[in-house]
Amino acid sequence: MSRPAKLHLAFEYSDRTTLRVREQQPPWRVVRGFEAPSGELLTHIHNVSGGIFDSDALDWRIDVAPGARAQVTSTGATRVYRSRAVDRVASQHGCLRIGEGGYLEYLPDALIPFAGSRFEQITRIELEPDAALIWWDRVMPGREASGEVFRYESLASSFEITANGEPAVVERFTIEPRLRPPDSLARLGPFPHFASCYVCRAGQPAAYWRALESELQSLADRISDSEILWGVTSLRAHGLVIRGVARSGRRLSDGLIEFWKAAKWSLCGRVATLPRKVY
Amino acid sequence: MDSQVLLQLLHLADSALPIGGAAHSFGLESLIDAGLLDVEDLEPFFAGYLEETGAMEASYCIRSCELARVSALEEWFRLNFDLGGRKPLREPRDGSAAMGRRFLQLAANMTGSERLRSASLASREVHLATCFGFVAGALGIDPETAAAAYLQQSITSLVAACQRLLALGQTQAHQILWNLKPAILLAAAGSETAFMPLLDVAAARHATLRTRLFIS
Repeated sequence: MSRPAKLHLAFEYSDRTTLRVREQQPPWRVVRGFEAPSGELLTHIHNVSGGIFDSDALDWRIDVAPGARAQVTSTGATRVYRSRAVDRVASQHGCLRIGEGGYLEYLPDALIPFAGSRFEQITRIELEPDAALIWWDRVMPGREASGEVFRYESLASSFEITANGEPAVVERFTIEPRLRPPDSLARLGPFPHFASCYVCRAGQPAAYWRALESELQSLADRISDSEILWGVTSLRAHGLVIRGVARSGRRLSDGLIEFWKAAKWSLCGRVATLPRKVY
Repeated sequence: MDSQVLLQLLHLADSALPIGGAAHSFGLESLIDAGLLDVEDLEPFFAGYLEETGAMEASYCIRSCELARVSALEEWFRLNFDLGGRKPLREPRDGSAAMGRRFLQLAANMTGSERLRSASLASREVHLATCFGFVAGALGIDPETAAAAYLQQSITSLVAACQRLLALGQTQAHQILWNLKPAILLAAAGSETAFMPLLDVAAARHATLRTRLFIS
């Protein structure tokens, strides 16, 4: 196992949000923060090696101070390269903490597991009182243009959001296409792309989430058809999750943007501004 | 397992137990409404369900069974809370909690067990898989047998839901259930992970169906 490559970003706040890069080791690279029109500090996370290799152990941490507002994105899709052996599993561990009244939106590009790749990611997010989060992730079946659909070896994810000290959601999945076909109707069926978007604010009452669930479900109904399906549901407390499955990655990406805009307006009363890059 | 315990387990694993199982489809109704699941798909669908959600719930059933044997009630409540966090979908989570409460109350009343009565009187979040395991443990049933019985009950209820939603007759339904026995036994070993995004989306969309037979 190689030594973890660390990235530690701290979004601090006095009269405005500033970025302090506390630690960055290759392949991580963060250049600077940009003030977004909607008030967040936009930061692009680069992986300068172009993708994740089977010997990579990536470790990232983001601290959002009380009152700070951050928008974090990637510079392109996260490509996970072929693994050379069963014990060569690339890993990425993320730890994010949002202080009281802080706000983070994490809007990365898709994850693309290449043929033969093995990858595991663990993400833990802690929300302090009144901290808010919009987080999306999108997973492609492989390099479709090269005819690679579900030809990776394994993709495992452990994802947890804790709010006010209690778990709001814990999701763990492992996809091993050779052992359990992802295109089974019990998993993805005819929709090889999938995505989730979490919208959370610690301490917001259940009635708020039920109302937002209803509003976003109306949007889900409008943009669902035979090519793409969206569903919205309240978590046990502190948030909701939007799930999507689609035949095409592009439609999923467009839908996530629609949900983000609607959720951000409801959650913060601010207009969503796309990160400065080409979508 | 002695004959008395076997009879008790058969009783508890009966899908006709009055705990509300007939009112829930756990997303199947909207999957079928969307035209994504038909009779010929059911057996492979449920085999996949058992490998994912079935095995994940089995692991909670097993741990609950073990905790009942050592009367670790507070730890068992924490396990229930963990399982609630593993259920991000509102309707299936609420359904599992409602059925769990009814199962526990029914078992506490039928057995007269003080341990089960204490558990059922606490106003804490519980779920069906954990309650089944806890009751089975209190009766001295071994964890993997309990998990297999829980999965048998669970799949039987879901197949019964399909009989109301699809042109699925009794004979074919029971053939499917019979054929799934090896998958039930494999799933009863438990798993920490589950991956069923299509059913998740269907379950999340269930509340918006124009007409509904089921609560979830």
